[in-house]
Amino acid sequence: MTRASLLLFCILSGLLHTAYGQTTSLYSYQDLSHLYYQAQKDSLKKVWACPDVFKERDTQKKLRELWDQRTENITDAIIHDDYVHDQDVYNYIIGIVRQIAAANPQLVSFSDLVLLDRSPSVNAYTIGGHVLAVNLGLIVFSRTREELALAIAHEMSHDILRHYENGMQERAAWLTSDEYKQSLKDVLSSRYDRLTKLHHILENYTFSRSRHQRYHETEADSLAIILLKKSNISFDSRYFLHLDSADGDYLQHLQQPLKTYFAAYQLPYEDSWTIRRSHGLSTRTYNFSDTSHIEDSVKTHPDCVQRCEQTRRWNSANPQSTPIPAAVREKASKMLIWNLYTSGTLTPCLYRILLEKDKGVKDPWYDFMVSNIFYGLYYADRQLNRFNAIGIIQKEYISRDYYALQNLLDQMPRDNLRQSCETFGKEAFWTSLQNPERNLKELLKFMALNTDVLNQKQLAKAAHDYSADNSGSMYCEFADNLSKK
Amino acid sequence: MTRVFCPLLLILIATATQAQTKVFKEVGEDIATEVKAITQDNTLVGYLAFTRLEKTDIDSFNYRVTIMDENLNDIGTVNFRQRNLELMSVSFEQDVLCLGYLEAAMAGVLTGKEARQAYRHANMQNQILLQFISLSGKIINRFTSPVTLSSTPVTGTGSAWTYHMASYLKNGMQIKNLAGKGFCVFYGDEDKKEILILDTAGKLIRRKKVTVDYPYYFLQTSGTDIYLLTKMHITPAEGGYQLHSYSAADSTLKEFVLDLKDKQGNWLKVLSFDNDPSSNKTFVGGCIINPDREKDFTTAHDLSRAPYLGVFSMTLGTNKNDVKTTYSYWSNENIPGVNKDGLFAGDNEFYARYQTVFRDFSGTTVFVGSALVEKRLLGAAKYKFADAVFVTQDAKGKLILDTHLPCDETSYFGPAGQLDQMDHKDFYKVVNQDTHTNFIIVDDATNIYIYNFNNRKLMRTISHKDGRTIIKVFPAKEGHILVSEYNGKEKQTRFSIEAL
Repeated sequence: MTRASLLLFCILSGLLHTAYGQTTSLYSYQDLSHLYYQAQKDSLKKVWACPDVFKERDTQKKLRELWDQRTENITDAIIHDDYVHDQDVYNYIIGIVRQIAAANPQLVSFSDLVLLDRSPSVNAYTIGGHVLAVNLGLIVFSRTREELALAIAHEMSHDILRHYENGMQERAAWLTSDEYKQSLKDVLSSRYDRLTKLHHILENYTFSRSRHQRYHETEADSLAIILLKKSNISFDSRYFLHLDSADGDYLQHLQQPLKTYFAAYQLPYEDSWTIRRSHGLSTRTYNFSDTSHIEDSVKTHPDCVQRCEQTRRWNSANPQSTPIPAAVREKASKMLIWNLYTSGTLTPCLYRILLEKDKGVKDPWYDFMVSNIFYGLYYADRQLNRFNAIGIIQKEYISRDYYALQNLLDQMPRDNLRQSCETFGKEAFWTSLQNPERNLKELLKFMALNTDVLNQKQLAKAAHDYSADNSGSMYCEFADNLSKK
Repeated sequence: MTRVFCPLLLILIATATQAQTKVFKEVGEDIATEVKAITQDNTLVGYLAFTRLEKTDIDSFNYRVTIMDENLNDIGTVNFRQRNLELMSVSFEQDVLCLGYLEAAMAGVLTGKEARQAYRHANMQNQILLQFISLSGKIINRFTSPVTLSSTPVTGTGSAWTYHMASYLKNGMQIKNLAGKGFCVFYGDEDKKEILILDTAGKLIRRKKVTVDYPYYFLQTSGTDIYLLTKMHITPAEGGYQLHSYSAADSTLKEFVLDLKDKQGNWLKVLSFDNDPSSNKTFVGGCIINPDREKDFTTAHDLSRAPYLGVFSMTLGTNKNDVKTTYSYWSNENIPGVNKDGLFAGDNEFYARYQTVFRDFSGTTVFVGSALVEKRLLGAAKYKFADAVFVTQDAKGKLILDTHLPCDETSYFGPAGQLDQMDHKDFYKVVNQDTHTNFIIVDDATNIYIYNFNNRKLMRTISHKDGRTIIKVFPAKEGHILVSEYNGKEKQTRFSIEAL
């Protein structure tokens, strides 16, 4: 290969790589769980037969009810597309699961059903029965493969230790115990303090369960560390501290002033829109004892600082930090953003995009999503639903920037919102996007900018046409939601 | 009170057996919640949910107050135990909430058996209770004053064999904030009517007996000025208003009293008793009753026979001399386009059935109502209600037909058609202090019309019914409406607070 052809090859590879980066398609409509996991869903119903555990008929019956309830919960979640299958992200997660399983054959001897939950909350969970779910929020939040592996190993440990199944058995035994039945009878026979008495019964149970559960968590932590050690995956107890900060997604600040992001799209912007113009209680300083605070006695997880301290001695000598591949993280982030959009929560959706912009992303897909948000907001406004589309969060739980953005979306005059939609319609980035994206713009434009208020039939027809023309596109889910309304 | 299950119970019902469900259901049935708006300076600043949780002894209950901001987000809860309470009014000033209750074993509508039990066990006197709650969730003070309840048998509740009795505070209780000072409370029972002034620490500053005993009382405050509008039962039935003014700045709560009559002694009918959004002064607006037609005001035919001589607006002040009234009589030649019967002449002649009055930010008084259109067929009159009409009154009393807003028209009806049954329009005022904009919501039979008076622009038309969805709107925080959408298919109600 000559030097010139080598140079040409490099340039072409670079261009191809860039093009790939910008056009990497996300999952298809068929990857939504109601379609992708249809077979698994049906087989779960057959495979998950309730074991005979109790001799007492009532208790066994109750266990069966709880068991069936679990099956129903997971199958409902599959039907409602709580999960999605993206091959790249799935491969990455299953790679971690298989590495742990292969290194611990005496403990892990099952074929897992690993699900990607579309939730933005930083969490992974198991519901027993060898079903493991990893939230997209966790994948986006985790800094390294090792940190993600700790969360996965922790959930695998719960499954190995049959915590969920044991929990169901304990619950069945409690709900059918003479003590419980008598305490309920006492509630009914008493004339006074009935709610308090009922509350005490449940609190005592919750306390006892939480104590167990906290013990279970510690047990799962210990086993997870063993699983990781045997799998040659580094463990660093500080991962717990990072996971403890998971609630602060919208407490992060933006790197630029809000108007800079708006100026980039030539969108109307006024500082006054970002300031709450209200005399309402939301603007006051209030300091009620935090009612959302969970009493220490009923916390299910031990304190993360405590977990960090307790497990420090198991830290790997030279812990590795393997970054999560940018492509995996980016796909998870995009899926998360799209899911927030389809569920109609536009402020967190836009804020996540701005946070991504801070990381320097140039992908026009994000511009497409910002455009969708403005079309969506204008449409919501016309439908008298802007308030719900914004999803106002109290200032105490969000950053100053998030608060300003929330105020802006709430207070931007309707005409400026329309102007924003029109501006987006003319943006240059549309040329880099594919037909499904461009057609979605047309659908949104039809919905939002139509001079007449559309009736349900017109909407359903437009949505149906979109699905027909863009068969297989992930955006058909949005059209589906419109048709179902 | 609306009965609701608490979320804790709902969660548990899901896993409970039938017998257990019975327990949760029975306990849940004792729980009742009532939601009230929290206002300051006549502006909605939040919401409050008052929940009776359970009975704790022979005459006491556990209660929970949940305070929400103007976006319906919870900001805190307060739990307390008290005798049987009926929440009557709420106000807010300087980061303190003032909640006014009637505390009485017999309060509310009780069956005969419940009433007898309550009476037997009532070992405390009936009283009003004012509770002062800070934004840190502490009950910082309470104030009580004994009252005598009124009682009346209630018909139409339960079966014919069940006797129900209602026990209540004869003239209720109203609380308004006094800007920078505290709260003004009016209440009236069988024996007395009182105005109480309390600071934000809950300390009683002054109390004043209201010496007149009339059926209706309406409280309004402006700065430290306090106005009590009363209405007596007299002929004319639409008249009989009297204004009592007090000053909280004056240590004796000096009072002046004003019969609401024009200079010729004609009674005035009050349509609005509100504050001017620009000056914050209290004003009264309404119609001047025609003494010759004072008994005839209920039918379409009555409205076409001049039951009113004109309209008036009255701006109140601390002293009697500060009160300024502007009258506009139909007979005045300075009012172009209106004949002596109040008929607006022109291509589309109509009589206006005024329903409310508001002031815009330039101080102009606007009378708002429905247009009653008359048509004569072979000498017989037929009527229909058509547009919403906005009539402005300037400082000299000159009236101008400002706007015809096309709304839902009724079909034609006869002269005996009752106005309050045939006219389906309700009017709400919404003010945006920030942009100095006045909106009027016309809630009509088929549609809801949102009109921006400043721009003279119809902002939105919302159909009450969209498929199986029924939409209603209510005033909310400044410049916003609360939209309730009931989806008949899913049997769910969605609430949304939307900017106008």
